[in-house]
This record gives sequence, C-alpha cells and structure tokens, in this order.
Amino acid sequence: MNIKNYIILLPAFLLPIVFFVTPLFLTAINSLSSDHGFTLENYVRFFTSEIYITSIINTLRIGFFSTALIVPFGVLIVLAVRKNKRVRNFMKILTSIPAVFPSYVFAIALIYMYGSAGIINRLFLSLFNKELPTATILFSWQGIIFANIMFFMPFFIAPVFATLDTLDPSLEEAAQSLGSHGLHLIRRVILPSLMPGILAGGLLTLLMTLNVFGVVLFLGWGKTYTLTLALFSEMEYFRPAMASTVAVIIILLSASTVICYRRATRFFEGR
Amino acid sequence: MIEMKFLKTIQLSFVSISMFFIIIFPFIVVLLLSLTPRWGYEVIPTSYSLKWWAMLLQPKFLRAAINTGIISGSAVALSIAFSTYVSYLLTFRQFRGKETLFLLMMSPMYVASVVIALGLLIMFPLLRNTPWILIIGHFLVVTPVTFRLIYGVMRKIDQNLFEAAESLGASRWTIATDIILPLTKSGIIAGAALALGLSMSELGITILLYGPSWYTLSVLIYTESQWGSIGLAAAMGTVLIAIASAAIIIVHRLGAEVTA
Repeated sequence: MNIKNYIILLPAFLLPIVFFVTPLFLTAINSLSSDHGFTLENYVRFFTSEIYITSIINTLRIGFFSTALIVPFGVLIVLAVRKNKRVRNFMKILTSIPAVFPSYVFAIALIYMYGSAGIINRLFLSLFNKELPTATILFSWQGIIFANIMFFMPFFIAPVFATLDTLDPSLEEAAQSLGSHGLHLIRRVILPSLMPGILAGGLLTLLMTLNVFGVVLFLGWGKTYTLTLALFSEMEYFRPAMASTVAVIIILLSASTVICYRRATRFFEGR
Repeated sequence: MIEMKFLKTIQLSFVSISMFFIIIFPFIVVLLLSLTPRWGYEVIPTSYSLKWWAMLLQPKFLRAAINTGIISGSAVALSIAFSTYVSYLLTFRQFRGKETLFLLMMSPMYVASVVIALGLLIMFPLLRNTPWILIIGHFLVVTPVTFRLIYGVMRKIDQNLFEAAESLGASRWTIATDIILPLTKSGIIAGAALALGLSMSELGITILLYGPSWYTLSVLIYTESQWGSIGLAAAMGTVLIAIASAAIIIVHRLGAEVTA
C-alpha cells in the first residue's frame, strides 16, 4: 500500500462522511442545545408533550400495519402470476413505476378517488345513496395506511419477483413429480425458497412506511401527525433544536425497529 | 381441467384489478384533474379545457422547471460519476474497509429524507437558498439507487479480462476507460434514468432546503395544492409522471432490474 493508493481511496470515504455522516452527527449535537446550554431539555419536552407521543404512536402503527398488510397481499399477487411469463414481465414494468411516481401526486389522486369528493365515492353515493367509509377516514392514520398499501405494494413485490427469477423451475417440477401439488407445493416448496426476497422486501417496506413523508404531508397535515411531519412543522416554526430532537428520535426508532425485525424474522431465515 | 382454468381466471382478474386500482386509475384521475376547469358534483367532469396547462407557461412555473432541470441534472451527473468511481474501487482494487464503504453508499436510503435535509441545513447554513445545498441533498437521495445499479453491472465483469489487459501492458487508466466503462454502460444509463425520475419527484429534501429563488416543480405542486388550485398541481404532476415513465421505459429497454 503506497501513498498513491490512499489518495485514490480518499474521496470515496470523504464524500459520504462530509455530506452524510457529519450532518447527522451535528444534528444529534444540536438536539442537546437549548437556552441554558447543553441539556436534555428538548428530550424532556418531547416525551412529556402529548402531540409528540401521538406522533410516535402514529408512526409506529402506520409502519407496522402497512407492512403487515402489504406482505401477505403482495405474496398473494406474486403467487398468482408466478406461472404466466407474459403477465410476469408486464407486472415487472408496472411495479417499477412507483419508484419514480411522485408519492404526493398519488396522494392527490387518492383524495379524488376515495375522498368525499372522489370519483369512486361519488359513484358509490349515486348507486347506493351512501358514502364510502374511506370518505371519512382518508385523512386519519387508517387512511394513511390505506394509501401506503397502494403506494408501497409495488416496492415490496419487486424484490420478491427478483428472487422468483433466480429460482430453478426444475425445483417445482421435481416437487410435483414427487407428488406435491396445490397448497402443499406452495407452502413447502415455493414459499420457503421465496423467503429471502420476502424478508428483504418486508424490511424495505417497513423502513419506507416508517419514514414516509410525501403521502402524510398531503393526507395528514393538520390532522394526523407522524414524526417526519413533526420535524417538518418544527422547521416551519423555526425551531431547529427541537427538529433535531425529532430527527434523532426518528433515527433511533428506525434503527430499533430494524433490530426487532431481524430478531423476529430469524426464525424464518433458518429454514 | 375446467376447474384449473376457472382458478386461473380468478387469479388473473384479482391481479389485474388490484394493479388497476394501484397504478393506472390514480394516473387517470390526475390527468382528469388537470384537464377540467372545475369539478362539481358529477362523477366524471363534464367540461374540459387546457386552462391549467396554459397557466404552466407563466414565468414562475418555467423557472421551477428550469430549476428542477439544473438541480436534478447536476445531482444525477455527480451521483453517476461518484457511483462509477466507488464501484470501480470496490470491484477492481484491494483495500480494507470495503464493507464500510458499501454501507456508507447505501445508508441514505435507510434514513428519512427530512432528516438528511435537516442535517444539511445545520451543517451548511450559509448555503441556504442556493442551488448547491439542493444538489447535495438530491445527490444523497439518488446515490444509493445509481450505486446499486452500476455496482451490480460492474461486479459481473469477468476479472480475467482485467488481468489479461494488465499483462498485455495496458495502463490502469486505459483499462478503466476502454474496457470497464463500455461494459458498465447499461448500468450507467439505467441508473441515470431512474435517478432523474426519482430526483425530479423528490419532496422531503426539497421542501426543507428550497428558498425564494430556488424552488422546484415538486415544491410548487405542494404549494399549489394547499393554497392555489389542484388543477395546476395535477398538470405539473402529469408532467412529472410523464418524465418518470420515460425513465422507466429507458431502464426496461436496457434490461436492468429496478428494485429501488
């Protein structure tokens, strides 16, 4: 190893450290600053204020319930189109669209689909003379979960499809020739081999739904607070120290959720 | 046999109905919103006009479109260059700390975008209302995506090719530009397309870092839908969706896997 080698490596490490790690570190330090120097005052305020506690609870239940609903529903979709090659390729293109589809435009679309002024609600109203349940819950945490399911479903399906592609088709044929069919085949052969993709996709979904911002900004603003929204509103009121506290809580919350997720899914990985 | 066919029909209709409601229908609704001057109590709007689209020609919106182009273009160009360079190091160089570097490159994906933006504001307060801070923020958001695509392609290059060229006396620079870069081209183009779509529709970073003269289309969509008109927001949204769809088509033409 000579000096020249180090020089060529230096920018690779330096850039992420300067623009990503250090700002996060400074945020953590900033969260301790208050009118009386460095104290834990902001954290005390955070955990004694009802709105912040509510935003933690909202964030957790949005992340947890969205993932818990997306994973089984997504697996069902993948299993349904598993055999049909053309549908599968078509689905791959479709499921990659939301990666660049602006989430907040999607939220606007949802309001005009299922909200009280939305197409589907109006249709429902004119047919059955009754409002859809979504017309009233769209802006609550249940509504945000509903939006998350629709928006993040493709993000979950994509890695599962990628795992499906790496599977050897002869595996299924071998299992069939040994007398495994239908549910037994799916439960004993296909699901276990899809497990790595399902677990990775589930983790990604959990992180994205915990940290969701675009959708909640459009649906939850002023009604349902999550941690990311709390951070945004602190900045709107020019309180960077409190915003930093919220940021630290967000990071700690996602980190601990990932650890819990890993613990909880270790059982499946063993198979 | 008939039973199987019946089951298959049920499966396919289940999938197509759910996909319709998740992806296609929202798009139609946004398009309708941008094409109707006012949406009363009818199920489908009855009158149509290009009023909102014509309003997009106002200087404010043109400025936003140019800003979006400058910010996303620079951020994506920087991100592609940096991801290619890091992928090259990880694939063809021997050094300690490879895992750390990989983790550093991927980690912005696991942190909420508003948190990244707040960190940048605290670290670079003087850069507020300049394009630079927005470019850095967008760079951080798209880098995990470009890096994963480019590294994925570069990792599959046969290492023997590298050694053969070296034994024939090619310099490291020649190997990098004449052998590795052309072989990585598909990953680079796919990464650029995807990152451009992602960066143009980014909101969490932009909404905390924008200033009075440096705002983007995504910020205007937010402000118009809150205090202006939903039709304008929908027209801008349609523009963003069109760009994003073009990006996706490019990526799939190249056959790259999109799992971002």
